[in-house]
Amino acid sequence: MIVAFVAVDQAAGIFLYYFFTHQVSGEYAVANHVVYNLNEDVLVLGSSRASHHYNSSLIKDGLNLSCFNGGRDGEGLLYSTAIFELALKRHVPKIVVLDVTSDVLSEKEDEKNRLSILLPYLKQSDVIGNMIEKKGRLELIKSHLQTYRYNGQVVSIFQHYFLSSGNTVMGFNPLDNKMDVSRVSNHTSLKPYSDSISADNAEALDFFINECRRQKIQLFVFVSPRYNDDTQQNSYLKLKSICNSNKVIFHDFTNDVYFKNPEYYSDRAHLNGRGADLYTDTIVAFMKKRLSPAANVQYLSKNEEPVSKD
Amino acid sequence: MIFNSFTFLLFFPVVTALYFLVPHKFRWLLLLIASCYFYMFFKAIYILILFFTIIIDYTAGIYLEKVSDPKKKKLLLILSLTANIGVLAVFKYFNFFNANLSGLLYWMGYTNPIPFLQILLPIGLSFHTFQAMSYTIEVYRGHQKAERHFGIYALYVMFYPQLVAGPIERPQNLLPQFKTEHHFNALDVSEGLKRMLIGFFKKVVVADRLSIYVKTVFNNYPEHGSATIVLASLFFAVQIYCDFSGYSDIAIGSARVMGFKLMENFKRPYFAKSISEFWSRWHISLSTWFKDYVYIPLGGNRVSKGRLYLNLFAVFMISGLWHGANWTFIVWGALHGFYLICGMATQKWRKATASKLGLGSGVFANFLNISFTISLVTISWIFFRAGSLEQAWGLLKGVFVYKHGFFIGEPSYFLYDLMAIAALFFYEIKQEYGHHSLRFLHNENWGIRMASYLGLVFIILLFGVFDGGQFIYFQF
Repeated sequence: MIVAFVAVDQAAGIFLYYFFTHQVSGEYAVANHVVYNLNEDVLVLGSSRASHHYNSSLIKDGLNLSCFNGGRDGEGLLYSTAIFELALKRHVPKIVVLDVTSDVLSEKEDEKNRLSILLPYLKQSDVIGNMIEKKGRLELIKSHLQTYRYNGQVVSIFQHYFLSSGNTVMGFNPLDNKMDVSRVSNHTSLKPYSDSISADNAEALDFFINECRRQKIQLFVFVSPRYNDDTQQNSYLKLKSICNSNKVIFHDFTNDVYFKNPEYYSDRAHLNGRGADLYTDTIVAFMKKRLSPAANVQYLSKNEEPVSKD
Repeated sequence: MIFNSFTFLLFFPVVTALYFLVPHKFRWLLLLIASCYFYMFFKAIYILILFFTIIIDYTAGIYLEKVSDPKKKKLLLILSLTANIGVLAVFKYFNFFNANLSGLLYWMGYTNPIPFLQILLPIGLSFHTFQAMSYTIEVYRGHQKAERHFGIYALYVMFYPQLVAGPIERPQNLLPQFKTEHHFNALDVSEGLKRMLIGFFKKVVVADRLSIYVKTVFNNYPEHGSATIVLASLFFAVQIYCDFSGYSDIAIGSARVMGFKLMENFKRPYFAKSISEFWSRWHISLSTWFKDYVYIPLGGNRVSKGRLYLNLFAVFMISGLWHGANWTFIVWGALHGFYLICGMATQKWRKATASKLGLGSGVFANFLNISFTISLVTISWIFFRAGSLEQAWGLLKGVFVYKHGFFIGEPSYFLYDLMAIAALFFYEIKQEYGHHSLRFLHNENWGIRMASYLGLVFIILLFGVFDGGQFIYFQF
């Protein structure tokens, strides 16, 4: 019985791995591109706000550099760090745009639980194992079961293998609806500065920044626009402090009046396609300015540490 | 420790193996240590509460047997019950009653000077307290001899498979089993493991899968229209059934592996054709507890109609309060009491009308009765699931609000939900109507049986939710 179990588990693992790595659409197809096929100059990483806010085509045209958007719905910094580390095993992009939320460093109950989505990449790098271990040591033991690595994904894997769905272009996934402003409160229910800082997330951000420095990658950390202001968080202060102390180019668009128009939003945390295009144009101009020879950032010319003008 | 945790998958085989390796005279000690370890995984210090009630009830049991004066006996029983109910009152109900008192005083223009307690509810408190109370009541009634062995009595209250969410056992069934030597029995092991496997399927594949949809809709109910709210409510009805009966299956199965036979707690309740039948199939160990220790002492069926209705209503209100210190649970209990009273009051009229319409019996009549019962139960579950009466009312109103679109969420997860319900329905209908075709886990063919075990394990691994967390009933 045990022998049969192990044999079926191993066979199912090989079978599922094939279909998993050959998905043509869906969130894993985007992640698979970053892990296995990345060859673009610019890589965008972050949560759903990265995925929906950064139009890869506009970045490509604006900077004259190829671009891929590797953002993923519902995922935080731990996921971005892990997927970035996997990408670096194959290819070193010239520029990385890390989109973060104000609460990126806050302790969040479910963020570690969600790390199980990295299980299919377990054999790619020790970093994935270390990351999954944050969820609990037992999670790594469970991951010895090949089938467990694809838990909850079977239908999605086959769906995205056989049927191409979604409107993702180079990882960018625009939202097409418009926010119903009458149903949106501009106030956050969060108590100001009540969040506690996650040591794991702060460590991940340090790791991310150091990897960029080590690999000579120009890093931009952006807080993309949102309809309501949620910056009154300890996480936000810590984020700014880490970026400043590491001289990372950081810009917050949360309270940019230009993006307070509800027409640009799908919901209060996400821009729609129209808003995303405007925002991408804005950050392209911002990045161009920072990357121009006149700027104090000499990053793309070799052997220099990234230095911000600010 | 929770059954759907990896820790339990290590704990269970180690304890079971040791149980069969250790000589019979030490087994109670092994199980007691294992049960303490199991309980202390939640909040170690709370084991002192258990020890407090165990010492009180153990001592009360011995004196109840010794004392012959009925008045003294009654006094001893009252003292023991007060200690048990007192623990419940402090840890479970104090803050609830204090909050209500604060509201009342505020309405009258006063401030409540009584501070709130900063305590967490000990896990499964109502379950083991009721089991302990059943012991003293049975000793008082002379139906059970007082247990002299302190360790075995402690084990009766703390036996890990049913410690935190039942079934609420009776001393006549459980205590003698600790004294009987259980030899390794392949049939018990096989049947127990099968039962556990089914329990895991119900919990992680059905209940925790459905909970994702239910949570999304219930937490954002103003965004959703009637069809979505109705579906989420029906999903919750299945979720809570699978969550709780799944726990009971694992409890009964894990005890059975060691040779213990715990009482059945569920008998496919959604096949009930009336509310009273529903309560003979749902959480049987609790409903029989209330029947034996509250309803019958109040007069049972041998009282006037008015008194009978009042008793029924009171029992169900208490049952609601047993579930949780919140008005939502009280309303849930009251609704069931109301359903039962209406059912009794209209029984003759309904029978006469049904036979006039030719719907006295038959498949269609059964279908109508089952559907009606499920509808009533589902309405009551809205109160059970809601965080407040306001939310429950909002959800009920939402049932009548049309909104364009139907929420599916992540399509693959929705498909899992439907597949899980279909599998459960197939399993339950076979059990209910006794069809012996398409047997899987109990097939006579060894190959099919093994393939079924493997299939079920892989279904759990591939489709289960492993971060689903605790069982809903642990909070009670």
